[in-house]
Amino acid sequence: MTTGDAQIAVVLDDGPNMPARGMVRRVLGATFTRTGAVGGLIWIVLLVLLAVFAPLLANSHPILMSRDGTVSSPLLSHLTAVDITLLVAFFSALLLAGVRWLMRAFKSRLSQSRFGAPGVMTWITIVALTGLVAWWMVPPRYAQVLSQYREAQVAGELDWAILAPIPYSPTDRQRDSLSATNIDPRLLLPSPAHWMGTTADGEDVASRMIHASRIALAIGMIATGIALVLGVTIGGLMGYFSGWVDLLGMRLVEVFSAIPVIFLLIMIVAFYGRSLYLMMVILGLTGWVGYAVYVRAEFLKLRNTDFVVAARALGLPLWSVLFRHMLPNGITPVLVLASFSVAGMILTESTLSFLGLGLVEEPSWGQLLNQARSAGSQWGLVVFPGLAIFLTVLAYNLIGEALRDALDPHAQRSSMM
Amino acid sequence: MLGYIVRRLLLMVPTLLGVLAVVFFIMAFSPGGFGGREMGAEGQVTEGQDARRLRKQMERRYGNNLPKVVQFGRWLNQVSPVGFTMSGDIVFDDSTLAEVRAALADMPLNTHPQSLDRAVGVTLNIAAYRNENPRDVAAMLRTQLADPVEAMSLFAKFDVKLDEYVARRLKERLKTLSLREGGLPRAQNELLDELAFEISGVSRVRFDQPGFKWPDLGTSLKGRRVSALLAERVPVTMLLNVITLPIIYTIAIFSGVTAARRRGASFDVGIGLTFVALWSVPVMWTGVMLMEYFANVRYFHIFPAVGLHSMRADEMPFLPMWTQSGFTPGWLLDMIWHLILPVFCLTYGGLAVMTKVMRGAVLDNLASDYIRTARAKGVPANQVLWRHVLANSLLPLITMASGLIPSLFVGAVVVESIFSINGMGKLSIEAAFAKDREVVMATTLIAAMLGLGAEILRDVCYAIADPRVSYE
Repeated sequence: MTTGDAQIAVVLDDGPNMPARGMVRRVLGATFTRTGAVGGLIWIVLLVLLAVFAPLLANSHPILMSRDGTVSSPLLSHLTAVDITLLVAFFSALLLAGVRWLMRAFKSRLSQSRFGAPGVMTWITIVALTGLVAWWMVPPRYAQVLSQYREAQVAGELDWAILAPIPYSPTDRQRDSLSATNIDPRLLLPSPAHWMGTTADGEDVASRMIHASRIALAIGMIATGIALVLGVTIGGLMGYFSGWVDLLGMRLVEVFSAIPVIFLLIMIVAFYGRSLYLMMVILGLTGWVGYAVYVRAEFLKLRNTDFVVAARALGLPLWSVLFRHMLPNGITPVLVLASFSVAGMILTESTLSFLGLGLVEEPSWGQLLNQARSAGSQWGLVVFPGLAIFLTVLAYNLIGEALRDALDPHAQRSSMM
Repeated sequence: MLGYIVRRLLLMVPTLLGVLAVVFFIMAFSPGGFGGREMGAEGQVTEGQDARRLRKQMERRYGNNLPKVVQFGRWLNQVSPVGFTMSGDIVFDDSTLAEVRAALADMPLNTHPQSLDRAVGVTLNIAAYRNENPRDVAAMLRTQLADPVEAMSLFAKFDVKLDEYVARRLKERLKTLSLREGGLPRAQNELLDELAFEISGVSRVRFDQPGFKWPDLGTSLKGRRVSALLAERVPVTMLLNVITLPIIYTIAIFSGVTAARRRGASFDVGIGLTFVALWSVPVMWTGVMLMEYFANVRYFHIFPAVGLHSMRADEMPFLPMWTQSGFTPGWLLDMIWHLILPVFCLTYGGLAVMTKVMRGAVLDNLASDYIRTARAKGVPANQVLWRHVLANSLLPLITMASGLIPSLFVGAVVVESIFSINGMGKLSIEAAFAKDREVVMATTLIAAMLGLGAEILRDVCYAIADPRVSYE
């Protein structure tokens, strides 16, 4: 008996987490040795960098300028709450990763396994606090005159100015262009001044492309996140309780998998108006079915295994049994689904934007592609947004593919890459 | 098998109800309500005779004055082949009609054949609505109409709540008219006019008359029958899909089998890379590129850019032929010419997925014992591949088809809007933008039935293709 108790105690101490974490790490390790997956990861990291540093890369506000001897930075003073939050999130993540690396380098193995969760929690707290503070403190700016700096420069009012690499904001319609340089800024072909040309409204395509990477990434991540949480919770409950909970849940699964998502989205946009957040929520609310079905099947298998019975017998609360003990044993394959679903969500968002149902002012790749239909000979508008969507979707698909192969015991056969 | 199909079909009903309810209530609880422009911001219309008429028309057509749950019930009853008759659909036989006509013929109101028709119509409407005998209603109308001012109570009989202002004006008018010399017929007709306006087209569910009936998809906001609209649009999308599916399957089977047979060779690797890439190419990008470079006078104007037919397609002969004026491509060739780009857009995505699935299945089967046995017995390699392996490798393709068919319809939304083809995908976008509830519900119904039907079809095909699968 005593040995049995000891075993249970061992299982509960760090049992359920350790092998699972090892599994996730092993699978990820196997995944990112593949060329396709590495390429995909590089592209996504690049996109993240573009999204975070978008205001520094493409902005009409000069980074630094001197007017009448006083030096100022219009770019920094015009950062929005979102810009600030993203930058803080990025740098705090770097900082925490650095701290972790240092701890791993100098201390024992103990601190290594203890730092993960607190580190993530600290990061989330920092990001949430920054977001709240930025939202309170930074005033929203409407109706900026984006051409004022160029006009001032032409008039010789500025002593000097350091401009962003792409000196056009995504909404800068270059209204000064015609009077100042006698160039009609609409539908310019790609050139050194405008790397990807301009839109029919005279906006710089490259600038819009860079800022649009935010929407693509956000839609993919957040909608998949919502779907993942919902699907895992509902599927977990269905699998754990089975019986009538399962029966009811399966009907819900059937209903949601029978709803044609694109029709639903078109309808909701038409009836409730265009909103990025609404779109994310709807994509999340309709995308959970796959995860639920998978987690349910996994939990049905697990619910009578010894370690689950032991956890239950010890009187652990339900959430602990479900999410701390059972979930880590069945979560890895869900990653495959998630990777493919991010690709699908990005594709759906750009489809909606393409159909003219996306956001109005905010730049989005799909919307740029929609403008390409009436862009005449401006081939930059046809090629680049489509290429960006293609590469992003391909990146997530390649990662998903590699993940699946890494999980599949007879993987060599199905790897076409 | 038949029992299984029936059971699955019955299980489809609750799911379908769930889908329809979700879509219906999303529309019903949206801030503007459905109908949008036609009905004013909150479903109300500013007063005035025309606005009142319009609102009445909408209420009769959609029941939008009812609570939202009742509206959904009403819509379901209207669509379902099993349900209750609406009082407006009740038809009386000729003898009853003649009797009512005779009973009302000698009334003072009978100044004109049309006024008698109106009186008969009102009588029958009330009889159907209140489930009373038409003869009794006619008799009641006779006594009530003797004093038109008192007959205002007839509105209450029909559950009509007249607007206070309208009721007061009508009452004053009836009073002045009936006081006038010989004004009675005019007053009676005035009242009947108002009654007919309030009750014509008003219909209620007659719970006492359940039965089978034809499903009715209702009327669109612009006044067209939704069924007629669908009959026009669905075949176009069907055509696109009927052409696309065989192309996908033929190419996928051949390239999948070939890739599996030459596993690891350059053909296999090449096809693998190409199709993984193709799978990720967004349809709208392909569409826009094709339009830009192959249907544009600026580059190569090889294909037409818009629609399914040329302008003069109706005057063309069906088949291509030589006439005095030269070669005429004919209706058929003209349509194929228009179809090439859209079908290409719909094909390549599914092709990539299917080829991959096919290749995996063939590889699985090539490694299995029965193939080794067949080879050992000396069956020629080609026969092993095309007869033994192929038949068993088709199962996953059947599974995939149930996902592919609905996704082709979704793809049609994009393709149809790029190439301006008036199919179901384009219809659903137009309907959503017009906030046209009945059309949105009809397209949802079709899309959901298609998805669920494809699943049943998959399971049935599975049982046919694989004798080991049995649902009994």
